[in-house]
Formats: sequence, C-alpha cells, structure tokens
Amino acid sequence: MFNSISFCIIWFCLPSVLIDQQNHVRYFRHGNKLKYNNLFKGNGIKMSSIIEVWDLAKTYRTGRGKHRRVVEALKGIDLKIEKGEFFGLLGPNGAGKTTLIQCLTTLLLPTRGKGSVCGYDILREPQKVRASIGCMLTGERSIYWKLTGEENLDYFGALYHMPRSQRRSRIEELKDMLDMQEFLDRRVETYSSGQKMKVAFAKALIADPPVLVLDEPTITLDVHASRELRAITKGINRNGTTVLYTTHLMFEAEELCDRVAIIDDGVIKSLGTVDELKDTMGSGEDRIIRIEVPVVPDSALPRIEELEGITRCIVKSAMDNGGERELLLTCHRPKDVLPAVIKILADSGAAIKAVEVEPITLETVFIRLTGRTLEESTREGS
Amino acid sequence: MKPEAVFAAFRVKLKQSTRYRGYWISDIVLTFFMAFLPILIGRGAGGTGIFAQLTGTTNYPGYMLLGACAFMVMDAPIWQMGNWFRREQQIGTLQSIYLAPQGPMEALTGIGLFTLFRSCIIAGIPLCTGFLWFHLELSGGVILALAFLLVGFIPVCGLSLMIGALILRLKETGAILNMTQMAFGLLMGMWCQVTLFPVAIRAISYCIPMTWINSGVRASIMDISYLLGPWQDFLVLLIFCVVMPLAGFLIFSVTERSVKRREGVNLF
Repeated sequence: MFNSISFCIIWFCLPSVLIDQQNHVRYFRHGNKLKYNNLFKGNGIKMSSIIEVWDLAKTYRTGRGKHRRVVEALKGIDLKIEKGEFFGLLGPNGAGKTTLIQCLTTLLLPTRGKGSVCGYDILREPQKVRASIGCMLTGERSIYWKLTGEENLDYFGALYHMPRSQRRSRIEELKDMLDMQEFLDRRVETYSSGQKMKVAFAKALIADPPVLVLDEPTITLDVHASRELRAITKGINRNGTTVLYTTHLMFEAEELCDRVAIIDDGVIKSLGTVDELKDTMGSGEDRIIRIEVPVVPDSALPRIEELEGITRCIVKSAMDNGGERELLLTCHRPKDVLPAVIKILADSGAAIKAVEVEPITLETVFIRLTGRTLEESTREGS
Repeated sequence: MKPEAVFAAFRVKLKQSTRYRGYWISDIVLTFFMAFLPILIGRGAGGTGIFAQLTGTTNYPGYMLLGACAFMVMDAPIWQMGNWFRREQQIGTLQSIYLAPQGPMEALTGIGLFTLFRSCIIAGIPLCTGFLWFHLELSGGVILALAFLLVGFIPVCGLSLMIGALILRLKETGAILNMTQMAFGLLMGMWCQVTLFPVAIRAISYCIPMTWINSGVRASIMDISYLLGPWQDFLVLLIFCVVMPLAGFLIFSVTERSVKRREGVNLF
C-alpha cells in the first residue's frame, strides 16, 4: 500500500519529493571492510548463518488438459551457508539449482518452506534481501548492450541507491579489480563475450554486497578468462564476502569451494567440504593402489592377497615404463592396507619405485550419488 | 522510491533512444501522419458541413490536430511503459531490474518520466508546425489545455501499468498494444465527439481518462463544449489521478506476484 501511495505521490510532485524507504539498506564502505546500516538488526529472525533455507519446495505446473504436468523442481531443501563461506551448488541441468537461487533472490516464490538471507525473510522482506545480494544470473544478457559498460554500472549502482560520488569511486575500483580500463567506455555491443561477462560480474559487485550469487559465471568464458574470474571471486571471498556459486564443472568446485552441495532431482544428495564428500566415498567404494616394482617376488603375492581389505591383486607389465612390473591392488581403504603391503614387499626384497593411490574426484562422488556422470546429466537436461 | 534512481532510469532510456538511428525522427513523423492525413483527406472530401455537426466546430484542421497530438501524448505511456516489460524480458535485463532492492518501480517511473519528455517533443513539434501550416489561431485557455494534458498523464501511467501487468502475464505485446491503441483512439473521441456514440460505448468512453483529457484540451483551446464543464471535467480527471495509479499498482502487484509464483519474471 505504501508503495502504491509513493508511486502516486512521485507522479504528482516529481522531481521535488524525496521518499526514502531504503535508508536502512544503504551500504557504506570504509576502507576494505564493508559496513551496512542495521542489516542484521531488528529483523525478527534469529540469525546464525548468512543464508538459511528450511524445507524449501517449488512446484511448477506445465501444459494444459491431457498434457498437464506437475514438476517438482525443489522437494523440500534444508541448507545453511555460513558468513564468509564459498559455497558451491553442483548439479546437472534441471537439478533445481537455478530454482533454488531464484527463490533465494526473491525472483520466484516458493510453493512451501522458508528462507532468509542476511537474516531477512525472503518472503516478508524481499527488498532487504535483494539489497544484500549481488547477482550474476544470466551473464552477458543481464546488461544493456546499447550503453557503455560504465553507464551500465552507474545505472545499476543508482538502482541500489548508491550516491553518485560513491558510484564513481566504486566503478574506478572495479575497473582496476577486473582490468576493464580499456573497454569500459565503449558500448557493450562492441565487447567480446569475456568482456561482457566481466561487466555483468562488475554489476553484481557494484553495491559491494555481503552475499554474491554466481550462476555458472564461467560458462561462456575461455580458459584464461575463466581462471581470472575464479581468482577474482576467490579474492573477493577472502575479503569476507559470502559466495554462492553454481557450476557444472567439478574442478571449479574442487578449486574454489569451502563446502559443496550436490543437488539432483530437487534434492540435496550430499553436502560437506570436498574432502568430506571424498571421504564418504572412501568407505564404500573400491580404490586402486598402483605400486611400481621392477620384480614382484613370488612369495609376496599370496601374503598380500590374504591381507584383510584387499579384494583383488594383479601383477601387470607396465609397457610405458620399460617393461617393469606394476602391482595393482583393489581395496576399500588404502590407508589401512598400504603399510602392511609395503612391509610385505620390503621383507621380500622388492624395490619399490613408486606408490600411487588413484585419487577420488568430486566427479566420482557425483557418479556415486546420482548414478551418472555430470556430462551425461547435462546432456540429458539439455 | 529515490528520485536519483528514477532519474538514472530516465537518463538510461534517453541515451538508449539516441543510440537507435531514426528513433526520434520516425516518432515525430508518425505524429505528422496521424494529424495531417485525416485533415488533408477531410479537406479533399469537403466534409466541413457535416463535420461541424459532429464536432461542434468548423475548424476541422485544428480539431484533428489537437486530437492527434493528445492521442500521441496519451498513447506514448501505453507503448513505452507497457512494452517496456516485454522488451526488458526479451533482452534479458528484466531480471537485473527485479534484483534491485526496489524492483521495477523506480525504473518504471523513470520510463514514465522519459515518456512525458518524449511526448512533449513528438506532440509539440507537429502541433506548432500544424498551427503554422494551416494558419490556425490559438484561442481560449492554452494553460488550461496544458494542465489537462499534464495532469492527464498521471492516470494514463496508471492505465499503462495495468496493460504492463497484462503483458507481463500473457508475454505478448503486438496484438495487445495495437488493439488498445485502436480502441483508445476511437473511445477517446479522436475523430468525433464522444457524445455521438451509442450509450453503451459512450459509458465505456467516459471510463477512460483519455476521453476527458482529449475533450478538455480541445474545449479549452477551441471554445467547443466540455463534457460536463471546465472545472467539472478537471475534477473528474483529478479523481482519475487518484484512482488509476492505485488501481494500476494494485493490479500490477497481484499479477507480478502471480507470475513470480508460476514461472518467474524472466521467462519469456
């Protein structure tokens, strides 16, 4: 109601009327440390995490008549992201990660459940939620191509109620941070994809928000630009900004994220640090230990095979290694069996040249949780 | 709502408009066509006698010129603001606007401001040219006519918000805007006095602010009769000024919420 009245008043009295509903969410930078007025005060929610989601569900109804279909994009998600955390959301197309982000950024209303960002309820205080978040969701399509990069940043800064002087200094800061000096005064339509993505990224950072939400930010970038953007994002996170990062790329999640949630079919399948997720794999899956030895003594093999935990033991000739022998052991827990295997080989007089435990990657974890590779899932989704 | 954000949206729209070649020229030329074609055709057909019966004045060019310019001023917000949602949706920036703390309201108010500025130019130039070309004389209250136009702009913005809501829901602009353009042109009495309409159509006609604006502008400049009277007509317009923006905002909010519940604002 208040908004509707202000809409009328501003039409009656433009431009002299000053209506300030948003003073409480204006940002002020002091050096490198972000301070914002009352952002965590008096909001009615007891805040322990910067992003919290309780039983969040979203159902879409598509089609009509016989083709009517109900799609459960999110099936009751619970999630907590701590302040300053770099949080990765990993999942194939159609897993529900964009829906989750759209609900958190108030672009979409959930069917059920609650959520909060910086202590603000996503349903009751959407304006304050939006003021706390910097978003890069649709990449290069999120900016005006007929304007210059600088004009874009200035405009979106104004929409975040930043004063003109503050906008200018922030644009200068971002210019240096993202190395945009050479092109920011040109129209966006003349930019390369990488340059457009940089401006879109700068737009997300313009108000220096405490939470940064990036939806597959490197998807259209080349290798060099992706690496650069990842390094900058990590730097921003080190300065205290919480980052929620969605990606298809396992190595990005491994490289950047403090914690990762693997989401598929609207459900969080697994959540934890990358190491924790790998550890959960370690207990249930077969792992391969590769031991390079010139000669495997005959007496050693039966003793190794008898060891508890060893499920398979193969000796093979490694052709790429001058015909030297390689002992391939399959076991559940390499850490438990490896000391005993090395002792047996040493006692038998075998000269061990190298030991390698096949690493568990996030990809392995993903396959185990979803039953398919991320590449397959992405292809199915698209 | 912060004026700085509103003016930033105004500046952005102005800059964008100057970066499309022919944007302003074609808009001004369109108003010339709208106003001059009926005048020249009317003169060619020699329908002045019947015209006086229909409109209450023999000043056929002046009547049509004012009607066309009032139409262009009133039509502009419907196109600019209604179409704005669809355009932003298509180019992908609507989501960015919705991510700003205040949502689309500040940007939309800026677009309204730009529309007012644009209307003054695209209606002002043909109006001045027309008066010189057809040797028309201004009589009566020019200031009152301007007041009708400027005050009338407010309820039209409210109406545009309703149409914007419809476009946001249906994700279609061409048919809706063309239809509303034709309908409002007829209903506001661009070509003849609304008093000549059948009762049902006349009733609908009285329910849209453009009718009162058009009638007020013509009557105050050309000394033809008002619908009710000068101050009564102005009072009706003031009531529209309160009702229409509120109704527009309410309808828009409900539609926006429904769209956010269904598929989100950026899906097109």
